[in-house]
Amino acid sequence: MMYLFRLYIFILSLAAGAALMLAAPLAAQTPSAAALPDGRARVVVEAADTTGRPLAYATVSFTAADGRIYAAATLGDGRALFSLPAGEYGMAVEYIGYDTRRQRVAVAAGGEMSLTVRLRESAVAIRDVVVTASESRGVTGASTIDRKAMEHLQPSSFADLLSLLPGGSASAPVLGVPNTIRLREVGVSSSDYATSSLGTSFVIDGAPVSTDANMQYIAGSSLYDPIVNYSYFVNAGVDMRTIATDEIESVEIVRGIPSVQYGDLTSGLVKIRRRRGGNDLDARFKADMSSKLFYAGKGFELPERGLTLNAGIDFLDARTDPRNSLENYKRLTASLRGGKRWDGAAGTATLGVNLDYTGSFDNRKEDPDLNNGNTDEFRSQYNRMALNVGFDYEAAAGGFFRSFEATAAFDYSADRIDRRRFVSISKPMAAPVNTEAGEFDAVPLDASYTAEMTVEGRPMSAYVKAAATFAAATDNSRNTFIAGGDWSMDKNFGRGQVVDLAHPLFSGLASRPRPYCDIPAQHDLALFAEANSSVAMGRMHLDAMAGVRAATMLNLSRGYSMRGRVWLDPRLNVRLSLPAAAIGGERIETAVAGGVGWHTKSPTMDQLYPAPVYYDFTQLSYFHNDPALRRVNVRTYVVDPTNFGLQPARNFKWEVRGEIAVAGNRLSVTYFEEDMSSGFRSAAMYDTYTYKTYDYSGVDASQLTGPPSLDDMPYEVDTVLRSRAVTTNGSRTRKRGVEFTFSSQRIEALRTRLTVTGAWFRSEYGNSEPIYYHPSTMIGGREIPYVGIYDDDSRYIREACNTNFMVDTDIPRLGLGFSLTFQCQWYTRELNTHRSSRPTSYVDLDGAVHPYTDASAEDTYLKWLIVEYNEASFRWHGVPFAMTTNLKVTKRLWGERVRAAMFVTQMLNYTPDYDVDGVTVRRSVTPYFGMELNFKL
Amino acid sequence: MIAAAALMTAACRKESADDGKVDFLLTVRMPISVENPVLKSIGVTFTDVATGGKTDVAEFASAGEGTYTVAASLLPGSYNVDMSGVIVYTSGGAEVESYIEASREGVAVAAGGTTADNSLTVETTVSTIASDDFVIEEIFFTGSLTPEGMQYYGDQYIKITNNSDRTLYADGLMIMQSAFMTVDKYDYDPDVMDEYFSINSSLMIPGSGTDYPVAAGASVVVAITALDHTQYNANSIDLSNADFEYFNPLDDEDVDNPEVPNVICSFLEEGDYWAFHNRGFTSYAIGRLGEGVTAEKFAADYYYAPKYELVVPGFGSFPMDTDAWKFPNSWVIDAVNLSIEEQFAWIVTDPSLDSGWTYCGKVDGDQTRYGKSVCRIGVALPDGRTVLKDTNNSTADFTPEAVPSLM
Repeated sequence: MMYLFRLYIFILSLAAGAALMLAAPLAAQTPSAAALPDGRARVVVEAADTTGRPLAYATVSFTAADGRIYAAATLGDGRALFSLPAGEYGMAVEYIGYDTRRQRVAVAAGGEMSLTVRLRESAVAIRDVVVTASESRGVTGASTIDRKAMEHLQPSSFADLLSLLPGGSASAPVLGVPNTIRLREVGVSSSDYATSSLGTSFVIDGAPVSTDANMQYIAGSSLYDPIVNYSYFVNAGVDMRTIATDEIESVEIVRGIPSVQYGDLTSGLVKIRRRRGGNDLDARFKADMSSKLFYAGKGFELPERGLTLNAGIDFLDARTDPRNSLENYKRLTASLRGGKRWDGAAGTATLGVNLDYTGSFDNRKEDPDLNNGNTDEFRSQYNRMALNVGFDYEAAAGGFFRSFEATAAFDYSADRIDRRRFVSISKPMAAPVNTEAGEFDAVPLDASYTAEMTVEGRPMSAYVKAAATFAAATDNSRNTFIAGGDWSMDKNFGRGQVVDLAHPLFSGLASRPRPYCDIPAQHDLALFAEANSSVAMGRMHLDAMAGVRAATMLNLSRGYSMRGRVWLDPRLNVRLSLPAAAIGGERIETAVAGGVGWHTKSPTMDQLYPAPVYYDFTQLSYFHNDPALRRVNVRTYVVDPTNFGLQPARNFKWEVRGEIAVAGNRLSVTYFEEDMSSGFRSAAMYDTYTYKTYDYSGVDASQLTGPPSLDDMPYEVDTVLRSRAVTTNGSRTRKRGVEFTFSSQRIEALRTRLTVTGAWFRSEYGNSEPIYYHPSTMIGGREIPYVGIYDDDSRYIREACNTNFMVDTDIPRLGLGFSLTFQCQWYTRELNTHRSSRPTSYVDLDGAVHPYTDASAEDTYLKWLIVEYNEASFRWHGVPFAMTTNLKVTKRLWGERVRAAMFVTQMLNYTPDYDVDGVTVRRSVTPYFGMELNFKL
Repeated sequence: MIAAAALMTAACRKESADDGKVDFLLTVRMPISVENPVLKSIGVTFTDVATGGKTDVAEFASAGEGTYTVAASLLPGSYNVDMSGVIVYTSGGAEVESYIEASREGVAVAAGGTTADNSLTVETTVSTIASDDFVIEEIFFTGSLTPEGMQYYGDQYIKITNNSDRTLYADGLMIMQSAFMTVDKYDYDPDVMDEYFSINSSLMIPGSGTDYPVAAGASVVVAITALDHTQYNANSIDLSNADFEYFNPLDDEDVDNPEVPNVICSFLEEGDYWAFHNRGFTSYAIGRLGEGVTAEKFAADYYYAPKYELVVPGFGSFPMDTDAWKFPNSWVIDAVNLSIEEQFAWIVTDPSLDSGWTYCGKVDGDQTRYGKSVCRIGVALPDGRTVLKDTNNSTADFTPEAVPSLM
């Protein structure tokens, strides 16, 4: 009953909150530090826990005798500032999870007073667990996921955690292919729109995980080779499968605008902090429908000597399909982390050293029984060794200099793809075996052979960051300034693509070897400066974070237009806590926040230094019945597809957020927009090539004793157009949406809490530069000799709206915790917009560009540049409501030393059929379940 | 069968004085589609369903009003009646000779029946049983399996035969692949099938008009690659003596036998390589471009981009479009629909070109189809000449899953 009343108050206060937000600018004009109005006094309240640790965002309120309330939240240093009229007040300091402290305070006019309040952790709240992501109460839109939430979630890899974000939802894991991240978007499966995942930075214990030198792919193979489809994540960022969760203490996922300390990103920041210390021995055994996970970890802590040591090992064995032993994924991680802390009079220094190994192995085989006993296998392995040294020095209280931190990280991977398959040619063929440009004879392919290809990558990256923090305080503000810089380097020492040209993996795929070690190292350098201010403005509080980051790429050769250029990322986040109000005796806290900023991601090694493209043109094919007389001659061109004009991808974001909290119920709603018009794209560019066509009709085969000579053979010169894929900044991704998180207070009687998260996303993906297209039509044995230039490729518009309702119950007396989540997908809909049917201009064989006119449309060949589309396909396609439910149960035994847990994802589902143009669409989802045992000894 | 046998036993006993035969009168009506038809010759075969015994009759009598009668003496039983004949009619003021045909199955001949009972009237149609032009005699589209069990399809070929009684020229003959598949039926908009054959590609035999004479009854073989394929695949065939081959100079791996002239790839919609659909889902036709129409002009003027709705039960409906050309039915010389029993959906020609379909393999990806071809059946004409049967019904005209003639 009480709870219902509180909910009612909460809804009432929503309206009140909206009014307060509007009133905010007016309220902001109240007292400044410089001069206090007569009859007022300055009061500083410092909130801390029983160990003296300052508590940020604790609520401090003063209730005057006339019932007026003055309230504010404490800042990062645990302090809140007031300017109060003289009088008697009832002061209350509240903080979630702590007992509220109340006391009487007499304030004398013109005076200054300072109060320190120590809060005791509440007996009930100590046991309270938050089993979902919590929305940050800081200046930017971020979600925090802690150990408890991860234990409840029972993840196999980091990818599983994303279901806790607004807009996320849990489904059966897909461990057979790389898992890349999607933040604040519906997503579209196209490598032209992978910049969002590439531009999400994963920072583990202060060091970003660099994937810039990852070039593990087999050229052209997705077209030819179904066995390896979707197995690469080159230029798509981090494969989240490789990140184990058991050593993680907490994760902060910044969806909004991150601090300028973090760069080389466009779309988001994932900060992972791993465990330090503790003396537990942990073990975890998890089994679900497609995978098994084993983990063991041990912590050591010697508090008197400031020493910590943690070690952990984890093994995951997953199959794409439990019935299929031929396709599997394995992960092995090991981590050793040491920490040392020195406490001195001047300050505290900490040193952390991490040594990590991550192995990630994809194996796939064609069933020999279905392949006539012939070999067909694919193996891809990553072996990453990482060393991370972090040093932190914090000055004791007072003074301008506050802290200094430095991180140095180094990692080296031994990556390898092995593709092996039995090849039997489907018709007689000849293949070029030259690796240089020029005229060469090709060799006939053997009727059958076993082809082997290896892609050996040895990416290395180094990272150094140093930053210093300074503080300055005025009477009613706290200011910190951070200045620093970081440098990162990427280099690949691998032998790269190793192929045998005479035995190609696919007949039709004349790929050439390419060593990665020849590619120059890539250096990124950035400097940043940021100011963080907390200003008390009467009953309001303003927090602001403003900074700028300047980034440049080093070691670029003269041709690149990026050489010597600096990109500036200004970023600003502001949060204003509005005066607290009370309705029906319940306190209402509201805040508005917003941010705006630029984000820059420099291109990857593969984008800056793409593999040369080979074009082989048959000049003579004299494949006589007598093999001794055969000759096949080709003209080979080697083209460098480097785009020297390539720029970094830049994303512009802004967001506004409103927050309201009533009696422990908390709602946060964010509206955001992002526009990245320079995302990386693989665009087709066309060039003309000339080659000879020899006329062998004058050759008298009966006179030949060997292959015919080309010396006196007449020939014609032909010109053709060929495309090459060039990385451009031609992809535009626009994201818009609303994210919301509501978390209720735990209802004591039911020991139950309600968490509602959800989002509405609208994502648009399109080309920001004109599209080149060459029709594949052949007429009279010849190709169309023109390339069209079109304004619009199809833009993909995707919309989705979902809400997850999670009811979690924790019964400490029984050691039982369980949660039920109702995942409601209200709708999704998509539209592929109209594509240009008619080009605006065209390119001819001489490379000249001409406008495309009505006369062109009548031309026998030019008319082929008009592409007919079924206009009906450019329509909205909607999918109506569907709901799935997830159940998670945890039982703690023997004083929490053993925890047994199980989960069922998609347990009960409501996925009604719906009609599209009279066709009934049936949907089905199948439950996915697993269980685990945890030991904490 | 049992009933027929019982009937016969009974008939034998009753008609024991005679040889047991009864009179049967077949009335043949001339086709209504032609002007003043006159029957010149006829051949009627009565096949006893029970015994397989055949009775041939070639005599006929005029019954007036475009009707003729054929009298036969048959043992009682159940018969299949196949009739073919030669007629003369006037067309455009000239006298034209043509073939007619008709057939019936399970015709009952009753012992002691009256003449009225033991008679049959059939309508005939003008048939192209021996069309006076080229026909597709054989398509070897399945390719072969290598000894390791892998697909090999460089040995595909098509055999085109002069089914007339005079020398024809193969110059300019088009070999076309249908744009639509016989296993996927869609409502293409606009629907032009009654007037055009929709194609996605075509090969053309070169020549200026008289470069490649083909004698009556002779054939030309157009191979994908005219080489001795047994050098690469022991299960394949020697095509080094093919008359023509397909060579794509723009494919950097294709090879060209200098001893065999190349066909021209007149037009090709997608991809850079021409091959027969090796599961047999597409149909093929031969034809000639109309007077004064070049390949370029045809490609430009006969472009056809039908739209359709792809309906996937349980998944939805998706608007689609495809690129094709429409080849007028009147330019088509011969067409063959290919399909498989498991997934046959429709024929992709107008029934006047081909009203049936033939096959190699019965299910999708049938492993038994390799090394088999579809082969036209030879028939003897009333004039004694043996020609290839062409009733514009591939179901009846072809032997499915035949041994390739060049194997």
